[in-house]
Amino acid sequence: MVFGTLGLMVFLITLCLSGTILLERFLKTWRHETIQGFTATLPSTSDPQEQFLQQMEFMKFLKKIPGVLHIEIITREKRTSIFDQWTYSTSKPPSSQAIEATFCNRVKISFSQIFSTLETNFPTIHLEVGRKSKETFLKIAQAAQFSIMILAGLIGIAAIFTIAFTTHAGLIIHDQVIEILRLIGAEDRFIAKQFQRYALNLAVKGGLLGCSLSALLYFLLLSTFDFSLLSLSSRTFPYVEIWGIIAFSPILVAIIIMISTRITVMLSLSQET
Amino acid sequence: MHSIVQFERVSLKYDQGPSVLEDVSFKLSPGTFHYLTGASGAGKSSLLKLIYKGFKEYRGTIQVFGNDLRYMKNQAVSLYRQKIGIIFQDFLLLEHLTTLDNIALPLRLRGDGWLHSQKKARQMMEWIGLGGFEEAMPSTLSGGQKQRAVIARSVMNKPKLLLADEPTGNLDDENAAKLLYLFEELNRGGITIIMATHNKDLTTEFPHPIIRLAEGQISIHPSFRCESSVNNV
Repeated sequence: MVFGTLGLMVFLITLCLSGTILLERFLKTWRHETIQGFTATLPSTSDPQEQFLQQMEFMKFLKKIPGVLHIEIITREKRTSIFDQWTYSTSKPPSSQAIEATFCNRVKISFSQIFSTLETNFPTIHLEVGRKSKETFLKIAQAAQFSIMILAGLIGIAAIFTIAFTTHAGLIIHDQVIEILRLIGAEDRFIAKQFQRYALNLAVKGGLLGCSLSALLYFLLLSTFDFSLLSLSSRTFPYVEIWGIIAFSPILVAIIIMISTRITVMLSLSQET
Repeated sequence: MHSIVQFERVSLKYDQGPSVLEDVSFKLSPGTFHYLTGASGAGKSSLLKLIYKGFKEYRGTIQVFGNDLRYMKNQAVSLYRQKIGIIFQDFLLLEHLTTLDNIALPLRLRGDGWLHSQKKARQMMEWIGLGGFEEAMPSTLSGGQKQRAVIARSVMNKPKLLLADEPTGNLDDENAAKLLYLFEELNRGGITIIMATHNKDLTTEFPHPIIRLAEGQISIHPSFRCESSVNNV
């Protein structure tokens, strides 16, 4: 019973920590893109040549802005592949042209000044510091990340209470054994060690169960969904981190359990003497 | 001679009940063997419990091995109990451990290694006549075997003082006599023994000084081996 509960807790903590890592990875990418650059959207025209000339002129203008690192025309394919497939219907691809400008991190950029210059020279242009869709995602993801971290903390606290309760019940059940041990000279730490050994046994079994469930779920997710979209620009899917979490969570839970068992036993025994 | 156990005007009572002990004073010399007798409820077990610091609330002064038990800290109580052997009438063996593990336990508590404590416990079991019962669970042992296992456990640490609370209570006459032979052998080895009993035949057959408890008072009936004194500390 306790072993199953611990297994479930390890599984949930693994999920929470993996979720946090994934979100952190995405947030980093999104923050990077929203903070360091802006996206200009040029209205579409009926004449492709005119549109091309408009683009070239705009890009020439952008290159003159101090601190600009990179200017990229966001092709329809890329736009669709990154975010717009979530916000637009793929059957109706956007007709406007987007150009993304990235700035050097070390240069202090006044986007309002740049925007006012650009708007003066290109009155029909639409400018965004990052994409609105990204900003929305960013906020949602941050909130989700925060909630997940709180949830992981709550699961940890629940694990501590479960163990404290189980240990307390164990102390009551083994009251006579403890009394005998004390009569023959057992120190409290020796008694605590016996409970810790039992708790470690449960933690190892629970940890293995939780680990197996997490690994199974991870494999299922990887084989079912295409995560290449989530890797965004140059960042890769955090395989190492997630496997690390799956391996690390049981150890973390075992440490928490060992410490809470010891504290519970030592406190209870000190109150009895 | 320096005393191993010394009571000075010790009184004990349970809550609002009558006094179990009233201004009791006596001292026992090292290496002696005393019976502790008295009617049921006279306070034999309570007196033993006072010696192994089973009570916190009492009046007077109890000194064992020269230490005043009142000022002994909780952590020190465990180490103190490792120096004394306690034998209970109802054995108090740990039922989930084998006989060997039960007997090896005091050495494990002292911090000895598993192999060393097992080896010593096996030797002790052979000496005490329990060879071949190493892996037996306590529930499968007879009363006499259990009592010997408890004795083996209590002397594993080579205690200076052995407290036995009605150790023959669950034994037939033959096993009780065997137990007394064993106690006398341990006593000859230098262990001070206080044995609570109401078996008059045993006290006659194996004569030793008797501490008699009645109505909260004690009287010591010396014998030829007595080195104890009463009310003169």
